[in-house]
Amino acid sequence: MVKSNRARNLLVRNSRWIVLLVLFVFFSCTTDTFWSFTNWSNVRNIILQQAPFTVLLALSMTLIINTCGFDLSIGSGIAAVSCTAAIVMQATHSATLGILTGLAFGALVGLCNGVLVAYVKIPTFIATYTMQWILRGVALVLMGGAQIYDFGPTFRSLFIGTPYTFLIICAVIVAAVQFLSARTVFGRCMNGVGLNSEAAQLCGMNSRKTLVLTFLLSGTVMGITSLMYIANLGTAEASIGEGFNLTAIAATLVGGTTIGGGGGKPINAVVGALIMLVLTNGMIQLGIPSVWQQVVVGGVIIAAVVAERGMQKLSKE
Amino acid sequence: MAKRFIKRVPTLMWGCLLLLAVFVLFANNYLRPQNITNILKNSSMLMIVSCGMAITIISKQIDVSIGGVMTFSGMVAAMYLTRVEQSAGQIALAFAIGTAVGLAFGLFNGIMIGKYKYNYWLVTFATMSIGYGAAQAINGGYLISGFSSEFRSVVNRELLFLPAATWIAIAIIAIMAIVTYKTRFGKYIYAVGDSEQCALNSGVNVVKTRVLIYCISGALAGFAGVLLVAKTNSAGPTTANGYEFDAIAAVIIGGTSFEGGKGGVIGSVAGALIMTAILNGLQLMGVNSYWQQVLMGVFILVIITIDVISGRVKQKNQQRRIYKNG
Repeated sequence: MVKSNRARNLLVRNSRWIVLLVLFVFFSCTTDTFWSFTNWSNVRNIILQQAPFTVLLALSMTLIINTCGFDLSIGSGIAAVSCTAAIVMQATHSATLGILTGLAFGALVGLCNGVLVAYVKIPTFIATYTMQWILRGVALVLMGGAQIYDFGPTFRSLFIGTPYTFLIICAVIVAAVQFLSARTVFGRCMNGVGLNSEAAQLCGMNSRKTLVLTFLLSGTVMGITSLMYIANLGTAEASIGEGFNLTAIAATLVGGTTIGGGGGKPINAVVGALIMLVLTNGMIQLGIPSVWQQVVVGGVIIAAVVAERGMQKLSKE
Repeated sequence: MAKRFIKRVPTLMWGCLLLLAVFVLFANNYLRPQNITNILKNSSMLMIVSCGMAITIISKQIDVSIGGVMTFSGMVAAMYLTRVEQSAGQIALAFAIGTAVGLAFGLFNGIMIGKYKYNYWLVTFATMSIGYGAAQAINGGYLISGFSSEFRSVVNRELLFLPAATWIAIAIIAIMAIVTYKTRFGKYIYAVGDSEQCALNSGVNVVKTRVLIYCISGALAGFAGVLLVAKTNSAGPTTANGYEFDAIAAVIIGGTSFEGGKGGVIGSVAGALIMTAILNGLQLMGVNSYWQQVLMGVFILVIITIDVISGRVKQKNQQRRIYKNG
């Protein structure tokens, strides 16, 4: 009996990796183009060109969902940050200034969200949703429907010099956030506030400050992601990042982070993002029209939440 | 009588009315009958969904799926209408289909949230994205436009000085007002919003109440979705984008707050009217549409901030009073 319990717990704990593996094998078997021993180009493309962005988006979202709720401002935030950075780079031709602008603006967005949620105490969803409209509006006002291609001579070559740059940046950030959340006082506060903000306050954690810092961190990660995104794409326009919220939220929830769960680890974001990427890419390889994607992702969110509760019940028994 | 009425108008609304006065002074032709009719016509959809949003917010939850549901139900009804002859009976059937689609979404929301106690943000957000996604998927991402004049006259025809859509909205608002203010179910909505535990202990069937609330909200959104198609003469994958946001703002302006158990349908309807009037004023003043989005966003943020902060101050004063008297 004990042995079967242990096996079951092991299965529950690693269920996401199993789902990822099953999906991978399924798509490899059913399509010719997804993956085989001789055909690595698709998987290589996913890992080098798509995974870094999705993982960072999911990471940014995981931090927020873990502590208080959805962050809906990510998609528009990326649009606003990349447009501002692009305008600065077009004007000055200086990569340093552009990167600094992007980081600062990302952090500012996080700060605004954090203050609205922690100090004004607007529900997270509403606060970030309002920010989404405002930020998209800012991006549109800045660009007015135009596109910017000219980032100066150094910016793009900084990122696309080798194909592995994005992956390395992503790995470094994930490791840094992992360190922050697992080994520092701030990380403990973050998890404590996520689980129960009042109890955390009574235990002596400054829950408002923690919330603002969490948003600040998430915003900075978002800023880095948008810089990487325009470097990869080569253009900046106001409509960037329209479906990003949904992807990020789905990846986070599939990764096993729950709203106010307090136990979300950065590695969860990685698994979740990989599952979503394999799923969406596999669907395209199977020949399912891409218009169905959003329905599937929405369905995946509900399935993930239902499965999460089922697994909690299983591991409790 | 008049004094009592003035007292019941929420403070926030006075501020918004002041803002409207600015438009009356500075926007060209703002008070022309044609523009007033236009505002009434444009706001009727928002008024209808605000009723649903009001009851969900009164019950201390929120239904953010409204925009998605409206888009999808409008799309389904539009696809039905393009396949049949658009006679009066078929048009009525199209409205019924749209409402049924909305009801199905609402029922799903209600069962997941009310019965199985999943997080309401999460469930309604998921159904919102499914709604938008499904509206895109069933027609391959294309727009449907060019409906018959019979279908469009459901919204546009003038009856007794008002557009038909406004009369429809008034009828729905009247029903919703009676339901929330005069029936037992209406009392339950407020009770559940005030304190779910208290309501449960007093014998209210909380699960049933919650499921019904989401069903009503979904059905109203479904109906409004078809009306929106008739008004804009097109159905696309993002037709009702942002309606949930406007509805939340309308409800908050109308004096219903996120604390639950307060406010009402009539206030929310007035809020919807004010939201549309302000947007119309911005348009008439010739504000660039990108700036409109920023300004409306900031405006809504300010409204919500005032609501949340004033709620907290009120609570603090109440506690102080209890402390003093005790």
